[in-house]
Amino acid sequence: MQRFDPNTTTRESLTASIRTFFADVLSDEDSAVSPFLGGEKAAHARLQDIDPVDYCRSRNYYSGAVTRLSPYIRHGILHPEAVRQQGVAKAPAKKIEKFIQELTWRFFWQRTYRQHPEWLWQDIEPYKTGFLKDEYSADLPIDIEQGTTGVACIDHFIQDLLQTGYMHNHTRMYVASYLVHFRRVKWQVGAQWFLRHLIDGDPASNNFSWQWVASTFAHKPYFFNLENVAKYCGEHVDCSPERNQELDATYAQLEARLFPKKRAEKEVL
Amino acid sequence: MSETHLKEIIWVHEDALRPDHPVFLDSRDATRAFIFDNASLAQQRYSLKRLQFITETLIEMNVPIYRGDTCACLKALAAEAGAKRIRMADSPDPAVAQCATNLRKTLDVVEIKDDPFLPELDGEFARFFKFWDKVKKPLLT
Repeated sequence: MQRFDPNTTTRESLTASIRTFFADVLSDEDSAVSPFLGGEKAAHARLQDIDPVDYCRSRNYYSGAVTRLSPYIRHGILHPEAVRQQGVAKAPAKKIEKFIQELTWRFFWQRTYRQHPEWLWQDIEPYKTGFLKDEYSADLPIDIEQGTTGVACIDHFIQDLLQTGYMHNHTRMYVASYLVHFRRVKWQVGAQWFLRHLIDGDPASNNFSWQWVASTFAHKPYFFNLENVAKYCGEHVDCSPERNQELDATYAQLEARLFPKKRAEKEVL
Repeated sequence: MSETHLKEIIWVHEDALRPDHPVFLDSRDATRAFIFDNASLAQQRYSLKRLQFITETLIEMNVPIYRGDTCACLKALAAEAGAKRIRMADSPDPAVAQCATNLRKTLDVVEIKDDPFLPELDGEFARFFKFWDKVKKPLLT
């Protein structure tokens, strides 16, 4: 048993202490420190600043008024009821239904996890993509791990993950979908990778959301095209067709390309 | 009841890092400990970002931080403090439950639930929106 006695003089000195104490588990390349500060003081400062009405209007946009409270809620630093109370102190509950609903999503995932802990890493249902689970790779491609896929927007979102430990929810869905459906990698591989980096990494919310994207916990796979990314992220992220060619297609074209077996099944029926 | 019997260790884990979580109430003098489990670290490979966020939170809470095998550390800390009981926050994590089961072989283990966000509801819900329809009324008032 080793006791950790970090140097807390500055944030930099604390980082250096952590790097030393965990030297055997951290790679040399792993040097990014999240801009999110841990602790209750930082959580409450952020809680004071939420705008639940604007959240309901703009949450799907990359620069929308998302609260960024998830790291604090995940670790129990903030109780979800305290967050709801702060919301209703700023606007009537009926006006911020989506805000309260998103808090409830986490509760729902936790509840599902308690009822079925075995679902965390197992496919809950078969893929609805036309592919069998063994047709998905069990390895994380190096270009995805490093954010060098050559698809500009995906690389941008992965750099958010690697540099800050936080991703906007919409971009999590894009990256998850890209990994599972465009690159045909098992959702478990991506879920593990996210949990390594996300400072709000919660096994239930993370893994069940990956299963939802993959279609093993949903009626159909989630996929997207460049037009959708440009709509929600285009002001801040390179969504040029020439640097995102793989995504530049209609939904019908993508469905035919990504799920050819599903299409063949439909034609037979 | 002897003084020794009352002594307890509060096992702080990453699902409950709030100073006013019920696990800390009425136990302000108890020895507290957070353990980065070696086996979990090797398996989960948490990044520096995650380790720093958790560490900063624990430092603010003034919780001592250790590395090792979680169960072995807790048993050692209990022996050192003369404690017979481990007090811990409830968690859905099977690894936490497994460690609690192991600890119960030699120690009294008390699991403390957090204040509920929603009342308990029977049954399973395969999709969120059916669940939402059942629970939304009190949340929207």
